[in-house]
Amino acid sequence: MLESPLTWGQQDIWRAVVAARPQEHYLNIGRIFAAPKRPVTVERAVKALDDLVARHEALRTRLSGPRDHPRQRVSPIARPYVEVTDESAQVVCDRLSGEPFDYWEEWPLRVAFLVTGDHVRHVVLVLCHLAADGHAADLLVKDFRLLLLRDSLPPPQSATPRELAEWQRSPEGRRTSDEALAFWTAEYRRMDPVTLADVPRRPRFWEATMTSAAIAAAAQAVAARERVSSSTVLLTAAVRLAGRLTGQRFCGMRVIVNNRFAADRRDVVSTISQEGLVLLDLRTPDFGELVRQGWQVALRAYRQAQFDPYAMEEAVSGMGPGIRSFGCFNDQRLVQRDEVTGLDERAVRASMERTELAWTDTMDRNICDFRLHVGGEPGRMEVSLYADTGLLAPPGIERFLYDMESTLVEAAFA
Amino acid sequence: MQTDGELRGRLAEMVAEATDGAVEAADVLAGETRLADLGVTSLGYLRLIDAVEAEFGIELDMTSADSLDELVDYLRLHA
Repeated sequence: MLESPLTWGQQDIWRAVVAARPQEHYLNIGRIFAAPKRPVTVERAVKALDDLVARHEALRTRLSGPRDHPRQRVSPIARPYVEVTDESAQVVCDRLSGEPFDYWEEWPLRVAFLVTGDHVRHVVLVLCHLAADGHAADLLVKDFRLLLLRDSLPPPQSATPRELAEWQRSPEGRRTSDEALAFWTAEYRRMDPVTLADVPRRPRFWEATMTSAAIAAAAQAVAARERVSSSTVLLTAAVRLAGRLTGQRFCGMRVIVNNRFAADRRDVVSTISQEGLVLLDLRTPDFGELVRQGWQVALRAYRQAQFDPYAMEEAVSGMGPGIRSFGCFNDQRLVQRDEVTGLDERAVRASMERTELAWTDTMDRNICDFRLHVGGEPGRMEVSLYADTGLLAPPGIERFLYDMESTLVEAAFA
Repeated sequence: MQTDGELRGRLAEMVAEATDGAVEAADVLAGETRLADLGVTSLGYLRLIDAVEAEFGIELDMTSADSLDELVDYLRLHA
């Protein structure tokens, strides 16, 4: 057994777990993938899972030590929960994701092999967020698929969670954290105060999800015109609209940063993503100009997203009344490269008629009071806003999402 | 010290590596175009900056990596 402190990424997730308990299962990460065309027996799939678990330390790690100050403990062998079923993949994924992990006792993944007859057709992986972030989950799916086809893979090259924790405690790691703290506090000093409040509902946190083809087409069109990613375009629109809500001229939104830019971090299987801070000067009326500012600012912000989260919390919490970042933006789309498509204004505007908005979740507690998620398919985007109703009432949540769409459609045809 | 040609060649290779080949070294070398206009995404930029900092032992100013020419000038002055 090998013990080490939690990494900064794990500490971030632990803070989110504590803040949401007992509803923290929303943090679980589910993935469904098709088995290779060549027939795979359950025995073969179990062997591939054993190899996957042996390959990645993160999958053999549980928490240890006191509940208020956990550490991570790596074991040489782990036997995660596995089931073989003929239910539908989404039903199984929802069921396995629906309960929080038992962090001290349970291995951090749950697996289901979906079979027809003797053969595995699909695999469901549900990961504890302390073990993996979204990108790590995708790396695990890739490895798992390869292991279903081959007997072995070349050894992983990227740092393990324990090595990350060790680096974070080294002088270089501490310097990196201090630099990020200095960057964030300097940006906080530029922020205008937020005075936004409403009467909280019960449950307190509501999520609405908008499904829109128009927002996908419009974001890509603006991205192509301004030579930036659609992610930057969506982030910029979100900050501009947040600034309208808060009345801030300088509005800062947190954004989930992958942190796998260095060569030895590209394939890290752990929770290495943390938040960056994007502060925009909203005085410019021109959206294109704001998007270009967003690109420059985001690039700098992405480089300042590795830090000790407890030190950061202490540094930014005392910056003055109402001085706070507003919300968190997370682009979870799998396809990051934008398609450049011809844009038919009438068709895009007509498609707005088919935009759907639904209330998709509620919670009593959460670490974040304004969370925007982008997902869906390339041609049909899903944008979710999870907000504290004590900050923004449900009609305001709806309006924010529709305003995202109209802002981008207007910008696309400006 | 590397000649300008060698340095440009190496940096163009690094752009190709940072973008997983989506942007080819030959295209980087072909003109004075902004790297973003060639299709270098924010992820590509961040990987490139990290690789350049590691290889040349410098801290790169984010505003000095818009084009290959700017990168070469910056490295000549700071590396």
